[in-house]
Amino acid sequence: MGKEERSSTADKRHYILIAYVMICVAMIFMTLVIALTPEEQVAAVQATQRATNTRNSIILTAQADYATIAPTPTRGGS
Amino acid sequence: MDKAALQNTFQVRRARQRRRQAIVSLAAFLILVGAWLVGYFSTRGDLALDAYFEEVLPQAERIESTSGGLFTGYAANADGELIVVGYAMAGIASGYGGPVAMLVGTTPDGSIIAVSVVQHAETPNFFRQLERANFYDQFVGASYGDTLTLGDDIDGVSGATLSSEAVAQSIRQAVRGIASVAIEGAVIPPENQPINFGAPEITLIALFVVSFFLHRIHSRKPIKKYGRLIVMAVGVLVLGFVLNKPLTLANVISLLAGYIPDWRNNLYWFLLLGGIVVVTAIQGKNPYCSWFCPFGATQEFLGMLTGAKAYQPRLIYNKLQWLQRGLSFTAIVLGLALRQPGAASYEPFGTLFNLEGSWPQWVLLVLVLFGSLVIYRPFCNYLCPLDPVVSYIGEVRHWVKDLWAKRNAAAQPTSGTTS
Repeated sequence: MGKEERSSTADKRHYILIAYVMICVAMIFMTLVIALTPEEQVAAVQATQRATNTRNSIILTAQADYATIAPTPTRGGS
Repeated sequence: MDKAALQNTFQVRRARQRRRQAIVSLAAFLILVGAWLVGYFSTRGDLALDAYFEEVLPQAERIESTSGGLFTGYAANADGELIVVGYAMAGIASGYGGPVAMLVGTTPDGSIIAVSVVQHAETPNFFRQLERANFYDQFVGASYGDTLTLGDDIDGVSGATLSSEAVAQSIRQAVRGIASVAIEGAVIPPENQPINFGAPEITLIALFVVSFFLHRIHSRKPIKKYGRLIVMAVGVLVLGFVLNKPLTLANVISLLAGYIPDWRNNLYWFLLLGGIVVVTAIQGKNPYCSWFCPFGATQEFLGMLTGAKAYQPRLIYNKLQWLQRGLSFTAIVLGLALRQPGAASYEPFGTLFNLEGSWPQWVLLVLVLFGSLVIYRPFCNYLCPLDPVVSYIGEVRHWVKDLWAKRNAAAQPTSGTTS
C-alpha cells in the first residue's frame, strides 16, 4: 500500500470516528433535553395515592392521580 | 535554529499553554460556582405544599397551619360545626440524587389517608418505577405505630432501592411527626435505622482490595491477566446486572450539590466514592474505571470477541477528549443549576443493566455496544462523563506530589553552603 493510500485510509477512519462520536453526542444532548424538560419531570413527580371519600381508613382504596403541577422548590441546603 | 533559540521558543510556548490552562480552569471554576449558586437560590425556601393538600386530605374544607410543621384539616359536620378530619405534614429524606419530599395526610387517629410526592431529584426513569410497582399503595392505611421500613412491612422496588428507601423514610418522618404533635398519648416507635452492610458492600470492598493488589503485580504475569478478567466479570454481573449500582455522574453532582445521603442507608455510596478517591490518591491508578466498572467491562468483553483495538489517532484524539470534558462539564453545570443530579446523568448504564431509559439512551446504548466490537471501550474513551472527573483526582494527586517534593527540596540545606 502506498503512502498516499495509507493516509487516505487513515483520513477515512478519522471521519468515521468523528461521525460516530458526533451521533453519540447528539443522543446525549437528546437524553439531557428529555430528562431536564419540565414536562418529563412533572410526569415523574406527581404520583399521588389518594383514598376515596371516607373517614374510615380500613376501607380506603388507593387511587393514583397524576395531576400536572410545576416542580416546586425544596428546602434550602437540605 | 540554534539550541538556545529552540529552548526559548519551547519555554514561551509552554508558558502560553500554562496561561491558557489557568484561564480555562478559572473560567470553569467560576461557572461551576455560578451554577451552584443558581441552583441554591432557586430551590431555597419552604416547600410549596398548597397544591397537594387536596390530594392528601380530600375531605378537608379548610386547612390550618399549626405549630411544628403540622397542618390540620377541618370540615363541617351535619350540625355545621367545624371538626378535625385529618392532619398533614411533610417529611424529607435523601435519595439517590438529592432530597425526596413527601406530604402525608392522616386521619385524626394517625392512619395514613394518602401520600404525595412534593419534590425529588431522582433519575426520572427510575423514580417512575415506584409508581409502576404501586409502591405508594403500601402506605395507605398504615399507622404511625408501624415500622414503615423496607424489608419489614414495606417492600422496596428493585432497581430503585435508594429512592424507595428515601420515600419510606420521609413518610415515616412525617407520620411520626403528626403523631408526636397532634395525637395525645401516641407511642411512637424509636427510629431504629440499621446500618446497611450486606453483600453489595462486601463485594465492593473485595473488588477494591483485589484490584489494588493486582495492580502491584507485573502486567505480564498470568495471575494479573486472569485476576483482572475475574474482577471485570464480577463487576459486570454483580455491580451491573444483580445490583445495578455503578458509579454515575449523579453521585458526583449530588456530592457537589451537598446532598449527602444517610451513611447507614447508603454505605455503598460512601464506599464507592471513598474507595475511588483513596485508592487513586494512594496508587495513582483508578481501579474502578479500568477494572470493575460494569459498563466499561461489558465494552471490553465485547471487544475481546472481535479483537477490538484502542483507536486514539493523534490528530483528533486531543480534540475529542476536550469534547468529552465539555460534555461532562455541561452535564455537571446543568445538574447543579437545576438541582437535578439524576436527570443530568446521561450514561446509559441503567438502560443496559435495568432496561430503563429514554429513547436516545437506547440508541446510545446500541451505538456503544456495536462500537465496542470495533473500538476498544468507545464510551470510556470518548463519551463517559466520569472519566474527566476521575482523571481530575489523578491530576490533583500529581499536583500535591509536586508541591510536596518542591517543599522538601526547599527545606533541605543546599550542599556546599555550610561554613
